[in-house]
Amino acid sequence: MMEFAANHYDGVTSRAREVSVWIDDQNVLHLSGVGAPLGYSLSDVQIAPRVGSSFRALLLPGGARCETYDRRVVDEIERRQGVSRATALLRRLERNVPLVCVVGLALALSLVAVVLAGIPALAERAVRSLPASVAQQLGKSALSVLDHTELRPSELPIWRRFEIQRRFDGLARRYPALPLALEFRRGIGPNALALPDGTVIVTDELVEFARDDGEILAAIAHEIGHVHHTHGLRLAFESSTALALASAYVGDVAAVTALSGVLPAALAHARYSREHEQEADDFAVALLVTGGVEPQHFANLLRRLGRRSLPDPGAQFAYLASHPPLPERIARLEGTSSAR
Amino acid sequence: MQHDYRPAAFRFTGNASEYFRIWVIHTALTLLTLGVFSAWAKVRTKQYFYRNTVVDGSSFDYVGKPGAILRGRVIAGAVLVALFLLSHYSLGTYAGVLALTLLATPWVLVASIGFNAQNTLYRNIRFHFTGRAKEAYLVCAKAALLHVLSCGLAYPYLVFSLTRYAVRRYRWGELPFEWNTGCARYFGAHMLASCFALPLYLVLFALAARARGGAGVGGLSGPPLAMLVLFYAYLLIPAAILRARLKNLLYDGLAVGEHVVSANFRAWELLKLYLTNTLLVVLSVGLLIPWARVRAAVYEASCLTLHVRGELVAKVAPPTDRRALGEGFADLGDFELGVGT
Repeated sequence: MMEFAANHYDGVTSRAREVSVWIDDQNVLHLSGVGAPLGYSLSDVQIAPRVGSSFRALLLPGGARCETYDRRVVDEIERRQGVSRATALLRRLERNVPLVCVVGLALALSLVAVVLAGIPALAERAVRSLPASVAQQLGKSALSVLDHTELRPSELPIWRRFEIQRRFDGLARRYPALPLALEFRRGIGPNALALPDGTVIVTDELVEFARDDGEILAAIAHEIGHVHHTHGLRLAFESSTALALASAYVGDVAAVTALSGVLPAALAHARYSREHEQEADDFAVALLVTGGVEPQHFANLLRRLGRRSLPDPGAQFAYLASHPPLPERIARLEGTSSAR
Repeated sequence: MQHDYRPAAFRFTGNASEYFRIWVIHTALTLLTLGVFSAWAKVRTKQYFYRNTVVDGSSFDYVGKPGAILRGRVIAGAVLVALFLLSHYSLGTYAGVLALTLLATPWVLVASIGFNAQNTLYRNIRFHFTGRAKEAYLVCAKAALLHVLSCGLAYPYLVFSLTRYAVRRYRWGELPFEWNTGCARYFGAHMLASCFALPLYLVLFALAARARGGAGVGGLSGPPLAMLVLFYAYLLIPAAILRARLKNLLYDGLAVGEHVVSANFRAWELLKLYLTNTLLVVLSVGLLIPWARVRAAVYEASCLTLHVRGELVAKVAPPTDRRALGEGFADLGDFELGVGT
């Protein structure tokens, strides 16, 4: 015979009564302390499923309920009643500390694998299945947004534009399947941009900044790399998937949904972007070599761009940067170009 | 009659290592069963948190049935997919779907709050939500109209009126919830948060404009560290201030029968909690999620006190049946109202 103390709630009012409960050998549960002693057959008593080590509740016929922290006895009742296989399995799993550690580690590793490899692979397939009209539409609207905000019409002399256009065509001819087009604009400093529809924008400032046309071509080749690898659409797909995954997985941990998913998603976004930049750099070197342009121009351009930009590059956080660090890019470019 | 009240502090007694084991198994099983187990995980997680929330020597409990939640989720998911497909069919069906979604929102709100209330138990007495969909439609229509007419300036009124409606229809057994917080304080809370958000936003905007030209080939760079810090300050500080204020407005002065709740959430504490939780969750690739949740629950409980007048007694209310459909929608739309726990 086992006896334990419990709080009894009759289910009609919230008043608690301290009762003592015991089970006899005939599997009858006895209750004393609520007026006349009560007896219930164990088969009529339900036990609220255990979660963790919180209190256990016995659900008595008629809606009454006994709550107790005396786990031992409730476990014994459960043993006599027989626990459902699923409940027993869950409990075994949760108690198995080595198993929990291994599964937890596997969860974390698979999360990393999904973010680093799964999402990019998925994005590539998804983007390939998109009709070309999507990229066209996006490119067109992106250009019109840029034209209304940061970009102004080019002020380069027409002959200069014509010269660059001719050399652009020389590179573009090698990728007849790509809908490449060149646009000149002014307003955002020495830079070049690629839009999803194959439009490559070169800024006047870049043309003026370059010491050699090879440098302009290097920038253009890099942007053609972005177009070739459909980086624009892929990045959009990758980032939104990463954000959705992060929000779903992290949930309301910080109780500010805005941030809890945003930080991991921002890290993933920056990582995807850096990978794309590296792909575009590699593509550019290959294209320049086949196009008869010295790839060293690319490294020169980056080096000089780096010198004119931020005074202290140390004040940046590499994991959130959209591009790999400049020294790393330059070293990589010179490594690949000298290897040829 | 201040001396009549006996303070009973809320406490959270769960611990991270225990919840870690539960969470790992839940997450793994949910993935292995392609989401089917999530209904069971939801119920057991609620049970873990409710049963470990103690006030006046007794805990809450959650008695929702996983089967009902699964059914609700399947139906809600099917409806959402159907709506999504329809909305891509033509402009007419898109408008129709939009109108339907707007029309359904108050009903989903009522169903989901009701389902949660009904399945929450304290001392073997269930909570109830006596709100009817008709009232919810009136409240929502009025607030939404003001919201639109004022170009969003009346947003605090929207939050206020929905909160008032939800809280005043809440009951523990037959004990009604009373709530007399004024609308002005909701405007005050939002204004205070904006006072912090706006300058941060402007500085951020100015910095971003100066640091232009990061994209493209030259792309040197990522955002400078100062800008990142500012960006997260912009995300976090106003959110923490608003959250602390809104929680205090919701709980402080909330009466359950003759008993009164007091709350003292602090923006600074919430800020520290959010910041450390987020950083540690990210650095641990999610493995510290259980620890973060337990910490949040511990803090939340530590801010709440129930002032019991006489004896904390409620009688049972006649039961009504709520279907779990609302619960499914609630999971998708995150409408849950933390009243009663």
